[in-house]
Amino acid sequence: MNNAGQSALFDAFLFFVIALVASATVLGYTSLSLAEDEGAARAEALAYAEDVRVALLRTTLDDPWYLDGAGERVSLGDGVTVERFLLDEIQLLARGLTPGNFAEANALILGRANSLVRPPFEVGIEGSLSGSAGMATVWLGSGTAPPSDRFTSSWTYETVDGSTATIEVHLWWT
Amino acid sequence: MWGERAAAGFFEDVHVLIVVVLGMSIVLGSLAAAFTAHASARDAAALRGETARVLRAFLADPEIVHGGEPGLLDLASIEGLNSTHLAGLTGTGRPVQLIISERSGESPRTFALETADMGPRRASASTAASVWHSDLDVRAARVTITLGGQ
Repeated sequence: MNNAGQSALFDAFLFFVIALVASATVLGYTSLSLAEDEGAARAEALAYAEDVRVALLRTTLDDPWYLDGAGERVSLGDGVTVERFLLDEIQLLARGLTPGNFAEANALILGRANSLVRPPFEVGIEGSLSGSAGMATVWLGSGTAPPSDRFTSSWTYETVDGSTATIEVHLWWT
Repeated sequence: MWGERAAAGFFEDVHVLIVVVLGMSIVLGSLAAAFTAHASARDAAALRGETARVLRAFLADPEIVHGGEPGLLDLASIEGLNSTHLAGLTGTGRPVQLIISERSGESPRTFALETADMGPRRASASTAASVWHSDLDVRAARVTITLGGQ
């Protein structure tokens, strides 16, 4: 091969390298633009948490019950919603009852929530009361609290004695 | 006639030609792959968005919900739901599949309705809602809408 031929081959390899770089750039940009927008995914998860909270809290329970301070069973009858039960529970907790008094109904509520939520989400329910009626907190879910990276839908209620009750539904990716 | 380099000059250029053709093929191939991936992703995203819109329209349909409350589906309306009404929600003629799966209450029920064969391309959207049986019996449910591509 003479000098002209070597020069042409060198130019061709140079072109080849440029072609490779251009191809890698195009494919890299495409894969980045196709990656799911995390902001949109989080907004969707928050909307889903809101739907779960609304659906769960208006679900009725079949004759839920709890144990009063004397250990007697108190049946509430049919048609009591999860929302009503949790609001009563946190007010009774503030007056001295323990979560164990509500264990049966809490397990039922958590079971309903777990059944309602679609994979890959996990659910937890938190209720709290603060104000003149005292303070109380109840947690229904795995562990002792929700993870820090979660999607929360909450609602606040004013009680007749001026206290503030809050019910939060947390979702997080498993 | 062959000039100074004779026939060997052409065979020397073949190497150059191969390298150039290979480079051009890689560039054109990657451009084609990028265009195809981008076009199919755009179509899939449009279908997902349309599916989410149909799901929201269903959950707020005044003929389906109880007492005008979005997300609270009336049992009688669900039982009377037909494919014509469901197809009307899309407004595009795409095939739709609706599944409502109760997750609470005595003997939880599942409702399923499909307007046409879904085909291979489809997108689903799912959320939580309630099914109103009576004031004393409101059940949590998963609602899933699947939309077929065209």
